[in-house]
Amino acid sequence: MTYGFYVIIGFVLIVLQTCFAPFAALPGDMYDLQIPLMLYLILFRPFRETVFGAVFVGAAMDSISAGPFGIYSMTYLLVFISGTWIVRFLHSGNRWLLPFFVVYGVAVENLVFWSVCLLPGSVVRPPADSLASLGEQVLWGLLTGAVLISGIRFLHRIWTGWMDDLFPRVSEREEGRA
Amino acid sequence: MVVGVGLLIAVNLMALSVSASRRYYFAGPANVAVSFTGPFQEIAAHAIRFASEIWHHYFYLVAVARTNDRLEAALKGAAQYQNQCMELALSNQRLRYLLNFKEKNPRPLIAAEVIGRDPSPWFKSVTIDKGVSEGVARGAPVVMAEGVVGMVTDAANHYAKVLLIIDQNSAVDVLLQKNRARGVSKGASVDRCSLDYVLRKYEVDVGDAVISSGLDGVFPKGLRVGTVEKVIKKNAGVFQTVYIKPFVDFEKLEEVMVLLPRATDLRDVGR
Repeated sequence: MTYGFYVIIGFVLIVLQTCFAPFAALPGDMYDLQIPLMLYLILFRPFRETVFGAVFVGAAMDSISAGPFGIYSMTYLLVFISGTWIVRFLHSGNRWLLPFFVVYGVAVENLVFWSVCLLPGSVVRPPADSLASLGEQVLWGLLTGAVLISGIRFLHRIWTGWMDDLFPRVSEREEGRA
Repeated sequence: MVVGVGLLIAVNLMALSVSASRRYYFAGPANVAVSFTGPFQEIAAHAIRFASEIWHHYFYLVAVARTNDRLEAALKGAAQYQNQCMELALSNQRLRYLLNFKEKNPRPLIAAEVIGRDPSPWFKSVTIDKGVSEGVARGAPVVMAEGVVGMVTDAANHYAKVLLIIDQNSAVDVLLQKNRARGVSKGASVDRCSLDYVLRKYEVDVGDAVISSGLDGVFPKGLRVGTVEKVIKKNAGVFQTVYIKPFVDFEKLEEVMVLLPRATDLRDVGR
């Protein structure tokens, strides 16, 4: 049941990112809103759920973007691996560190994009304003990233509550496994 | 699990290196994802437009907004008509001497709404609410009254992905309307394109109109692309550097028109 939550929240974030953010004409480039979802999974959820999130959300984002297939999947897998390692040392569950963790995710995504530009035979070129874009994404990440992670955590608690009421046996089994 | 993640990264790296070396990417997986996200994007886009309409037409000076909309629509039509006339006059002069002049049938158009934009800040594409069921196919040109918008790169059943001409992977074969100098327009940034391979011998001025040449086999000849914004002519080199400001305002893209293949083209394919 909890995987259903990730699928729904993933699609909601895609719609927010592709419809609401551009039509709202927000100043500057918005960062990838799936990064807070990935960080929520890394910080608060088990390993297998994070892998599912990285693969599912990565494939969905790669499919709807005009960029080369794999940029987003690679970003989420790298954020997952490095993020899990960082969490062990920094205890990034601390809410004051959350915005910086989001900035880290944004930086990894931009690094993956620039690496793709440098791949042998790559036809992808970095836009002239890519540094300014990174700055804008970092600012948006600092301002809203922690709120999004907390919001996803809050919604997941509500979802779990509903699922416990609707399917008590399934939830108990899932808890037992976790 | 660790081996699985390592394997995933290896597979992903291979997919990335293959797709990064192609100008237009995989069509298969995109169709599935676009089909799934399309309905939600459509609902969200309609909700946003509905809220925006209420604000602009009811709370924000009802009469003035309506008059403005009407005048803007009329102006767009007039600009397109003027360009058509200019193109007709120029082509008439050239074609007067050609005896085997063949009149082409106008291509059918289908209107589509923009329901979503590319999630990344680096690539410029939009999702529209028309797909294969409505006759939209991969490679179909997408235009507006103002000018060329882009090309369909993926088409699902009821939705399609359009690569905008301002995307770095986009290329349109163009002509300078004034002196017929040829070049290739490529996406350069958020709101402008670069015009490559224009020979130094041609005199290019700021404000010159740029139109599609029809030689790329995608966009019909004579569609408006943009105006020359900047010209850099270095002392050495075969070509000059030209930047174009597209006629279309891609930040406010809401409705577009997809050019469908002519019935005669389809008959030719059938044969």
